[in-house]
Amino acid sequence: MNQLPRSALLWLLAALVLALLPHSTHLPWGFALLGVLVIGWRWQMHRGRLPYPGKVTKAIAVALACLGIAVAFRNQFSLESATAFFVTASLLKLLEMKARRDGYLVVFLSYFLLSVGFLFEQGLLQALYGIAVMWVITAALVSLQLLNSGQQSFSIASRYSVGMLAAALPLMLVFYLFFPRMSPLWSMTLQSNKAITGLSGEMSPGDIASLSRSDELAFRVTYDDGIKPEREDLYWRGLVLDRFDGRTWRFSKNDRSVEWFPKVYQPAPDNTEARFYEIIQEPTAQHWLFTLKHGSALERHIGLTSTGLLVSRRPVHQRKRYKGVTDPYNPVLTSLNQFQRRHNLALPSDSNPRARSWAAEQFAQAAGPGAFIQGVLRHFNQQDYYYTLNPLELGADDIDAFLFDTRQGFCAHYAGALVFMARSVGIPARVVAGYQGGEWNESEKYLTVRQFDAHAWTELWIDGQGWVRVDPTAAVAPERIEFGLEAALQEEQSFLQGNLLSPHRFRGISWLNSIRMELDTLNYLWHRWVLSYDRDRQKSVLGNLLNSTSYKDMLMWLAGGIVVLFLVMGVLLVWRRPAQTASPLLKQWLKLQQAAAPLNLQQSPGDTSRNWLKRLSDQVPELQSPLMAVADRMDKLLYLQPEIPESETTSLIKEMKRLTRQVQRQARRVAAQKN
Amino acid sequence: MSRALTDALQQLNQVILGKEEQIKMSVSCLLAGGHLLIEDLPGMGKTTLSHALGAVLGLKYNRIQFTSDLLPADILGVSIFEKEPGTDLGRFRFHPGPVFSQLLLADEINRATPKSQSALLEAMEERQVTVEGETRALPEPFFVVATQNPVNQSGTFPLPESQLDRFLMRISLGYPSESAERALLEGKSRRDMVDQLDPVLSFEELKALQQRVDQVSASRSVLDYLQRIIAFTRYEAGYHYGLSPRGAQALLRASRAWALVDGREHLLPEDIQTVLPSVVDHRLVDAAGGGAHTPSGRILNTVPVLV
Repeated sequence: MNQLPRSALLWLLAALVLALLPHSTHLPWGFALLGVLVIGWRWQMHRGRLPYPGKVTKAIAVALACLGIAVAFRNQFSLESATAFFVTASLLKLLEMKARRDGYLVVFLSYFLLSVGFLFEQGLLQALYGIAVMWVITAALVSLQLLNSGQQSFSIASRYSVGMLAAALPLMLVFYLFFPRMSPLWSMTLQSNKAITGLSGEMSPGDIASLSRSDELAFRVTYDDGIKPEREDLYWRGLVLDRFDGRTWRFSKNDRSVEWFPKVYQPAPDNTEARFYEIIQEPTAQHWLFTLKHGSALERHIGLTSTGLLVSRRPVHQRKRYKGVTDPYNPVLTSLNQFQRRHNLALPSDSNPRARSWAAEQFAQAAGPGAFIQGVLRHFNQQDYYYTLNPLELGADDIDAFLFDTRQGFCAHYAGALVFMARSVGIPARVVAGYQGGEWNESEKYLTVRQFDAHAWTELWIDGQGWVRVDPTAAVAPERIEFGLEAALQEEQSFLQGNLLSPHRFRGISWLNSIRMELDTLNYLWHRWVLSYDRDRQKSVLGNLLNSTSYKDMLMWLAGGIVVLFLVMGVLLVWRRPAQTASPLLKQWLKLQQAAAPLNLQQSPGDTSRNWLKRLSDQVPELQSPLMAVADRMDKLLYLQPEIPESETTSLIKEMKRLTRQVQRQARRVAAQKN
Repeated sequence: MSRALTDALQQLNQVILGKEEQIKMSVSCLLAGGHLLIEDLPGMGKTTLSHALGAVLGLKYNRIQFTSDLLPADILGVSIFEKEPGTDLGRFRFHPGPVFSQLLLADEINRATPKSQSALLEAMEERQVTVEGETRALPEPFFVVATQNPVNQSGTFPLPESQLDRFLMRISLGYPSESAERALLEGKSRRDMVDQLDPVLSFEELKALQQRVDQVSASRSVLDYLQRIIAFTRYEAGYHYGLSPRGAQALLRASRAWALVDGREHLLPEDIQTVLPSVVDHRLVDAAGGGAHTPSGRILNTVPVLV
């Protein structure tokens, strides 16, 4: 009875394979090979072509698999290697899947593998896929329970599975809403060692260009008023890079002057000029957040630096949702102290002599800092400078090389060169890195900013005006600011060059583009309404709903919700209960068998009533004649006529009841004597 | 039960000692109109039993010893050109083979090649023989009692499952008990005893008994049990394929015949359980390669009688 039902095997294999598929993206290809091998082997076992592997074979397989994992992950413990180990163990389990018990284990492994997949990807498509696979796994579970149903077993399993998932849906919602989202109790970082695409804390000439080859999502923005913002305003400030070592721009780690919410500027309630927005940012594993100019921190654990940037108290390891503002009334810095001025003028003393002398020459001719900057921008605009994603390699003194030899650069080259020249003539200047632009979704009124929107520009200190944003890229390639990177690179054809299948390459094809936009909208809604329901969000929602945010109340609601659900389901079950299946005769027969339990008569479902009664009467000879009489009557009733006559049944049941009591007494007595 | 049937069983029991159950089973098989396969080692009394059956039931019987060079024509018969005496003319005349008999004893059927085996097995199923384009009906009744050696002996061609299905029952005799063996050693030669057996059943009586098999009543409960068994063989893991509808009919018919031989006019679950090993064990193949239980043993232990 404990053999694995044959019809279940296909379900089990399908469930495991489908649960494993999402892992193929982050595991080495060797695991796919292992999977094919093991499943092929198991299938041959199913067909009787191969025997079950012996102990030695299994031990060798386990040892080889462990060795393979150790080699593939170089002994590192990470989310990937742990997953790989788990995947391997699940696959190898197939080889000893023989009894029904093993089938259950494979089902639970599949459920777990599926949820582990969500540690890596949480998109809408993954979620839909997850639901479909849940259905298959549950069907496998059902098929393990099926005994007497061959051809129909497929449809029974699939139908039951749908029903079970539907029944679990309310429970899932209750858990989603009320289960406390605690931070993990253990301190192990389950951090994936997969590289995160995004801005880093430093900028060498080619850095932003390489970032611009990716179409991954950086963040999405919704404006509270829903009005499409002007592209020229969309300078998403992420980092201020104000230290230069001759080649690389870095942000100052020693800039500790962060003011945390709520000790920072807050727009007054009647301030109609302030525009509020909400950002859902993908994980970056960094502290910095993104804001427009004149921004401020509006939430707990978010701070504002003296350079006007937003930072998070903890690194953003999970998708983060936060509010931002751009408010012209936000007071700007009007004077630089001595330290700040020196910091923003610092240059390595002996680098790029040509740029220094050229800047000094220009500054001498110009009427002031403003005119000097205008002059430099005009120079970029009128001389044959090129905006390109694939600039030539630069040697030492790369600003000199860029300005006077190659004249090809991406935004980082122009920004770096401008800041260098401004500093060399005594104008405080800094590079700002972040994102510029984004794609506006008209139907849902949100902005999508992707990695290829990464940008670098400059801020120059003009006495009396404070920090002024100057974007030298706008002088070279105005299309970049007005229409985005794709337009700016149209001639060069280098937009997402290494990313041939990226849907963003085909923005020109309108139907493809509209499909892409629709998908993006769905993903956005999924992120906004489902995935961003984190601990803070839960607390605020439940705070509104229950007037309390304590875990105790949350758990009470959780328990209450579950109890209510089960009550409702119980009532439904009782209400819809099918007609009684066991006949009264059978019930009485089972009672009689139960009464004889102390005698330890061997019982098997295949016993006929006469055989069993005969064995019973051997044990209690006192009752032999009534027992055999009942055997005769049962045979007569059940097997003599085509249909069972009702009246005789009642009298037989009465007789059996009487006998049951006697058997009970006798059985106890005999059992007591034996002991 | 008719007196003739009791006599027949008694006579058979005198020849084959200590095998009452198997004798009853083989008589039931013939009453149910089915063919019988006796599988055992050489010298266990297979041939004696089959000869005795033919003699006691009063059937005209032929015997074929199957060998590896046996040809289909040796079984079915052949047309031979015969000259008319005194003239130059002649014509083909059909010489019927041993298959044209009421009871055919096919000894060691698995020693013959598949070609010859299938010639016989086709005749068993169709109850007619087609030779050289002419179809000839076989006598009525037509029984085949085949014997075979266990297939793992050398020089045998195991019968494929599809052909095993043509046999209603497969039984084996087994070693006799100690006392039966002593009686055998002290008694007369079995061959002589078979020759001295008198037929106790006439053709009409046999016919009537066969009709009574069909009249054994089967209640709803017992048919439910039978169907549970069939469903179990089809849908429970462990068999390559379940019992066919023909297998189901065979099981019911064999059970009815057993009930009749047992002296009843109605069917009990015990009847099904008794004939089950003989009827299903050669039709079901364990996918997992057997184990502690035979296919029928698994059914008997698992399928509930009372539901």
